[in-house]
Amino acid sequence: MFDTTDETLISKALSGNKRAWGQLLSRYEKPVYLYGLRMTSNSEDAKDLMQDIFISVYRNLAQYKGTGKFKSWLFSIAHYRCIEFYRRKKPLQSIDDTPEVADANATPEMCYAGDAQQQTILLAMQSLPIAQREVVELKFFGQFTFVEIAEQLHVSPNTVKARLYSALAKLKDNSEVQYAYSR
Amino acid sequence: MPILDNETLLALWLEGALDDSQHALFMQRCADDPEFAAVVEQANMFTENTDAFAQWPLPQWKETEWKVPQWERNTPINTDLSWMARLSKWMSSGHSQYGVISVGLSCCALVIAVLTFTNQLGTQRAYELSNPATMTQMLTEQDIDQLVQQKVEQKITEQQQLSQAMFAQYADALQTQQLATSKQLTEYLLSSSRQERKEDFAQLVQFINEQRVNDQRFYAQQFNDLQDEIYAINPSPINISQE
Repeated sequence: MFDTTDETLISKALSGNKRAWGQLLSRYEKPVYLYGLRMTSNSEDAKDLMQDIFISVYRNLAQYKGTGKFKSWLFSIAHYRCIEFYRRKKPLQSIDDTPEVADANATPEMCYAGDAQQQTILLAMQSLPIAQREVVELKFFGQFTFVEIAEQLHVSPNTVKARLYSALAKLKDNSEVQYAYSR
Repeated sequence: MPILDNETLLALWLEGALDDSQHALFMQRCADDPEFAAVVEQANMFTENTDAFAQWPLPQWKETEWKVPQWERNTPINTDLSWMARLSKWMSSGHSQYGVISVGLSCCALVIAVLTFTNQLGTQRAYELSNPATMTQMLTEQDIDQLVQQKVEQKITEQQQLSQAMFAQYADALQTQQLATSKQLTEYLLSSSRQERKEDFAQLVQFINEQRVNDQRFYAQQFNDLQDEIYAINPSPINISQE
């Protein structure tokens, strides 16, 4: 009832209203930060990524034509920033490559995550290649449809479905391996 | 019934788009295919924990410290709107009270400009009276002055009448708008239930709190800019504590 729409805030921000930009920022800082956290499993990296994303959004705000949802547009920028972040960090690793086997206590965030579910999710996400991790993130935490995810990642909806299925199958295998080791 | 592959079936299930026959097929696949069942279980784990990070603390990321570049502000989002359309949109968006103020200020500026102009005319006339060389032209110029004076007074009167009419129009519009808003609010309050009002007030309080947080950030940003400007003027500030 009292919420200003994203489009209004963007319009105001584009005309130089810093307050509107701040409002837009505070509306999306948590989803973007948590996206970064689950994609990188590290709060410092998540902060850097969040800053990259918002700077990019600020620079490109005038190019947002209001044709789709702003959140979708924002997360498509987040996707590019995230890929760039990984290319900077691991230039020789493809986004389809499986990362090294994750350790349950690999990052302080996992130690901090007192909740077992948070630990499980962070660990599970860490064990997936970036391309699959992103689909899991956008589908379950971003609550986007397959079509929206496909538009954001510039792939077909069938590719998104295939990536999600592969990711979940891989997670099942990983949990079986962990269970076997823990015995 | 067409055969659906596991990926499509899972996707339909996740988006809640299974029809009866597809739902039956989904249940059958879960029972027959252990890999599919395990994938569904994994999907369930994520679906049930989507808000697992809701309480995760947001770091203090010092947004006031990072500088953002200037964007191209000359490219508005609604480029298809003509200036008249934008003006009418602005007038209808509840900002008409600002219009009254701006028109009032414009009228004041106009009156001041006219008064200054007439004062200059008077000064010029005094100079000409004191100068014998211009005495021969006195009569005709006196007439001209008179005509100018009349014209100026006429214009001021017209402007005042126009301003008053506009003010009256704005006041009427504002009053009508306020009456309509009050009526709408009263109708809404009467029609909505107590629970709804409670929720709305909770939303209002939340909105106000968010506004306060945004205001604080905005002012912090302003102070930061000011600090930068001060440092730019004086790159090596005096350390008061050392003096």
